[in-house]
Amino acid sequence: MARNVFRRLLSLGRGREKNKLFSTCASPASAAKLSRDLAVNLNMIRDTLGNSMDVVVRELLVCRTRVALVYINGLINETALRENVMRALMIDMHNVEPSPGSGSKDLADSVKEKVLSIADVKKIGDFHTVLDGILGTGIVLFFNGEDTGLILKLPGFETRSVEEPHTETVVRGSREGFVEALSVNISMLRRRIKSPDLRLERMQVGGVTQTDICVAYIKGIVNTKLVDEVKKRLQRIDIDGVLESGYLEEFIEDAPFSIFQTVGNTERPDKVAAKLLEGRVAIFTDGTPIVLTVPYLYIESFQVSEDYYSRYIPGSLLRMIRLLCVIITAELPALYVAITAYNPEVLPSPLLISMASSREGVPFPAIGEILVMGVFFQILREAGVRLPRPVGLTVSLVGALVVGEAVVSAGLVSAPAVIIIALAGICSFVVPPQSDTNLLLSLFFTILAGFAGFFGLFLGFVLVLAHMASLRSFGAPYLSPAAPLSPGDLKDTFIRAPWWVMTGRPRVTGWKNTRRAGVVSSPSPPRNEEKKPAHRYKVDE
Amino acid sequence: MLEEGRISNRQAAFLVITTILSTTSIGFLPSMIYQEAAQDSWISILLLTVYGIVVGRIIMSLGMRFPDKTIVEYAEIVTGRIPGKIIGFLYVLFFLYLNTFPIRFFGELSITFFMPETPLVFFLIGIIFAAAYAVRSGLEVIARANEIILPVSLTIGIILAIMLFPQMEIKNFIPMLEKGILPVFKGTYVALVYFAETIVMVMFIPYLNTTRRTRGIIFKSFVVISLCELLAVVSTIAVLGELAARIPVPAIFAARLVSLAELIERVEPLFLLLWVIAVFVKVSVFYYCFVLATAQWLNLKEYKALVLPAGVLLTVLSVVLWGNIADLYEQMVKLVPYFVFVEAVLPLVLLVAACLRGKGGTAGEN
Repeated sequence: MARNVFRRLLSLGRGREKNKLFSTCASPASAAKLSRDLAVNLNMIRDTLGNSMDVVVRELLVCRTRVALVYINGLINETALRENVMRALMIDMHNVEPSPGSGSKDLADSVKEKVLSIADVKKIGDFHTVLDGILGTGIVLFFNGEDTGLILKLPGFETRSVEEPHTETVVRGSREGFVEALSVNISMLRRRIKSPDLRLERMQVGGVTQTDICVAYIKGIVNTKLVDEVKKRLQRIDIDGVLESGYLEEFIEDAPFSIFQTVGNTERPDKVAAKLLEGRVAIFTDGTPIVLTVPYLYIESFQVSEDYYSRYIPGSLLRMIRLLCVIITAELPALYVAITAYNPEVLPSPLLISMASSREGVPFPAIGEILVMGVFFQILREAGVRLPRPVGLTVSLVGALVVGEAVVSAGLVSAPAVIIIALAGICSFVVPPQSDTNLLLSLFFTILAGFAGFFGLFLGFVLVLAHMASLRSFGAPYLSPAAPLSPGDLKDTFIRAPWWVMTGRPRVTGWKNTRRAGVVSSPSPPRNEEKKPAHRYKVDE
Repeated sequence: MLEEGRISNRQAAFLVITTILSTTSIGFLPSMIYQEAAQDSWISILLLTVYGIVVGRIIMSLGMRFPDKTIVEYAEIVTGRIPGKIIGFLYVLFFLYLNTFPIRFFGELSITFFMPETPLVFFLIGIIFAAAYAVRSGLEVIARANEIILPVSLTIGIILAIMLFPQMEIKNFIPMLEKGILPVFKGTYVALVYFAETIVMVMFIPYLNTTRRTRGIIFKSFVVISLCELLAVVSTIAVLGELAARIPVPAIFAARLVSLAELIERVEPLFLLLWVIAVFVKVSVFYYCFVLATAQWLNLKEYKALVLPAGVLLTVLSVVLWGNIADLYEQMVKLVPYFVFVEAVLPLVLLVAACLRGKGGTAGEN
């Protein structure tokens, strides 16, 4: 009900759906064709771009024709411009036979075919493409007397070098993380998936920022309806700027009012490759190392790329530890409240006595303790994250040692409450994608337990479970493969089965092409090892 | 169609299992059977299983003749408009009334064992609110939530039984058939209602995503139900013996006796968890059936508008229908013939009528 009202309020300002609010090509000239007169073209450029300091217009004379180069300083490769363009036009041009401009062909054609030693050169005729080219790391060449220009792609801007991802570090596995430049990110993916079926479709969103995004999937594995749905949702986006993939996430997610995220994100190329192999779709956004993957299931937050690289037995154990940590984070504080406030008799007597004695003299009820300490923990965490590292250390030291210790010895908060909050806090870092969600869940459960003890806590459980069961991410039920149950896919949930057992793709995403590994390829020693050694050791005499 | 979602055969079977088990194995039923059949309750369970399978087959045969309609819709086809409406109304009332038992019992149990000073309505509203949320989200959501809940409840139940193992005594089962076979039948009689709760399938069959092998789910469900039931009844009797007849919820009393290595003691919260999640599913299923049946009976296009009024109705009825828990027990035994009529006799009559009048197809044969 409230949701509908909220939707209605949101849609009030949406009367003008059709005319996009923002557009780079605001001037009326945008749709125009190029003129034969060079001066007109250049004037148009100057009118549209204004006198921005980084726009460079260089005019020169080639074979008695006036030619102009327009580009944006800093976006293009200066060396290549000097060597392959300027030098070619001003010196090599004169050696071209027959002399350009004299024959039947245009000067632009001759220059494109015979002079420029650059791979990506296109002929253009309208002003809109010219602007796109200039703003998108290109050099535009105008020729006087011709209504076509050339656009040379020579990207040469500064990028961060490829580094180890900060959010998802592994002990074993690739150390590469995505960077901000879209082309670099895509090349990292290509290098991992050399299949001709890997499709990378470019789109542009953001009326002002004109951000490039790229929808990646593997044809033949992915559900084509999923790709269409992703593209449809991306095309619907109408916003002035997209500076990070989080913008897209909010526009395309299925459950915007839920605390659970239904769009995955990662910084690791190997993870994206793995997701694509499971039949998912990835969305790259220029300007951010975070790549989105859909559909996103709840179980994915427990799956770390290292599970698949290390041996499967410890991998499975770690999965279960993570699950345990999620339970601890979300429920331990609530359990503490329920037990101390309502049903202390469930504890074994010695433990009950020691807890009661440490709570003696504490002026707050259990729920007060837990909430205050929880908020305190989050403040410490936030302070530690934002501050520069040396200061952050001080914060954690002061917070943890001085305040944590002092609070207990002053008798404001009991020691068990501090232990429980600390434990829950540490466990919340074990599954990073869920740490915020679990924090909210923990708050929800704690308040319910404060109101109604175990009953409230368990009722909260059921409500959260029902809510999660109602979620979908791009058509995939959020709790699958547990609900709806698909027994074959449980191999990659609470445990991580060995690779030679996981012969099928998860059915929920890879429904079409389910076979991913040979059925009988489990490793085994050669049967006739004893009788016939594979090779003999030569004994030197 | 009022319901857009589709559930699989497995999900339907899971729903039936949880629905039946939630009141029978962890609820009041073991005590009721034990009052009549004493140490031979397990024989009653076996008889009940046979009864459940037979009734289940009848219900499924009836439902599969009309694979895209619920009983409220096809009752009119089989018997004509006016009698059909009356039968439909009977089922609407039945789904409403039967639901008030577990809800009220849940409230009474929570008060007695966990929070004695809290008003009854608080628990009723809590569980009905949770169920209403699930019902509003649709059949698929109930089914999916149950796919998590059922394995979790079974695990908890089995863990409880294992923890009680040291306290079990086999001598509580002898002598066998001490007072003849009659008490066993009496024990069977009081529980007939709950083993025929497969009746909810009459509302689910049109929303199954396949009609192949649908009949088979009855047998498979009852194997699981019977085993769990036996586990519950046998372990309760083995632990409590004579005492099992005198306490309303023997299972929870048994749970109190758990003591392992002086570390794991007083595991009733585990029992409460089991109780909350299982009853949630049961209440949601009947709530859903009631709301859906009402919407179809009134030819509405949307059932969601009925969820809130139905919740209020359920809450009020659960409070006013019985004075206390003893009253509830008495009513439950008294009403058995009526419930059996709606659950078993009426479907049989409808099935025979449909066969004789040649209504409905025979689609979905195994």
